[in-house]
Amino acid sequence: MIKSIIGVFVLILLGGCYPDLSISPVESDSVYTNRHPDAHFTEYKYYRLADSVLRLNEYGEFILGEGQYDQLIIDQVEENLNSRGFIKLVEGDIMKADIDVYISDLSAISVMQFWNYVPYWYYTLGDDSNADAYYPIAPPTSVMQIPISSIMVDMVQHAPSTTKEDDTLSIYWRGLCSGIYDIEMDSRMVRNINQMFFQSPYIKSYE
Amino acid sequence: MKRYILIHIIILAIISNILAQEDVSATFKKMITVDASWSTAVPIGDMIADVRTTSGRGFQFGVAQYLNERFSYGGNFAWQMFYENDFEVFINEYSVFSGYQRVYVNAFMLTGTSKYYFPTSVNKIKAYISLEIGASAIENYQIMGMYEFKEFEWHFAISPGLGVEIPATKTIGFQLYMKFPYSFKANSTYHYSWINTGVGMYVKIPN
Repeated sequence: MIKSIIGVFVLILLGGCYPDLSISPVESDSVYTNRHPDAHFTEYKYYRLADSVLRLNEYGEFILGEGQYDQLIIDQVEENLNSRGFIKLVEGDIMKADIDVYISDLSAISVMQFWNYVPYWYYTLGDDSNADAYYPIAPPTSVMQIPISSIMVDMVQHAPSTTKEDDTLSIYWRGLCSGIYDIEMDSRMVRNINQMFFQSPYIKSYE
Repeated sequence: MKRYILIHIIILAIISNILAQEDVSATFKKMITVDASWSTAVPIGDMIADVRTTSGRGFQFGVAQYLNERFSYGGNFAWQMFYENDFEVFINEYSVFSGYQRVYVNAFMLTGTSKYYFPTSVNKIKAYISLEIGASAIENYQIMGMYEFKEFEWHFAISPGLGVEIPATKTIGFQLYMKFPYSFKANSTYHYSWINTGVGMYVKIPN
């Protein structure tokens, strides 16, 4: 009896020493940036910034609507660009622009389904088959929904008025921040957008 | 790897040669020793790229039988867990990825052990050198942002070491040791290695 108690005590002690595997929303944030190899940022000065955040669904289609943090995101991008010496153009002056800046919201709800047994279709259907092809699927044992915030900032070659629909424009720079949509979103958005620019020190306008 | 096997053969040959010259005490009884210890580890080599912090999460259990006063053989089970949580920045040619990265490396080692005890002793404290050969199962689990990476492989492992046994009574004592566990590359993994120090107790069971 005493040996069992000691054994359980040792297991609890070891379990307590093991680091926590759960992740906080703040720790889920990550920032990715990429620049075009042919982009020369010191040759650009004037930029045009879209006055709203573009919303895209999982099929890449535009969705109408406004997010709670849209203005905060736009202001933060503008502040960072201005601090690097870029000048924002306003209506009527936009033809002078060297670059266009677009902000997109790719946020989505990630749905994960779990079965506490191997579902029949899992081992009867190949990779090229649809899960709902032939067999009825038993409802999942549990479903987890994770709202994901994903904000993308694109710095695109300025599109002149003569641009045709099938013309391609270079993306000079792209910043993407993503994380679990949860607490402290305003401060996290600000920090992540600042981090985008912090890890892109080459973004500087000409003097 | 051949080099390590060769070193092991040479050490065994030296030990065998020494044993052959020993006049085994007639009063010495073949004893079984059971030991348990708490182990700490400092990662070295390729492993530093993933985790740099010292691990205090680890234990080892061993059982050994004396062949005579100088030589013992047996088995050893060890668990060591490395953990690091830090803000990391990964830079590629044109891309940068940053976020909080958590690394969990769980290493289990199951080895056969041989020990050679030096003939000189001070206050009955016995020093020894050891060599362990066996297998290690290592899981490398990393989370960065909302992305994760998991790798689990079995490795061929060796672990040379040295230590001292400090008797407290005729059957119970303390042990201190330092080992160099080395798990060879398996499939896509790198060589895992760390410096292992430990403190524990042993019990001698007369046969």
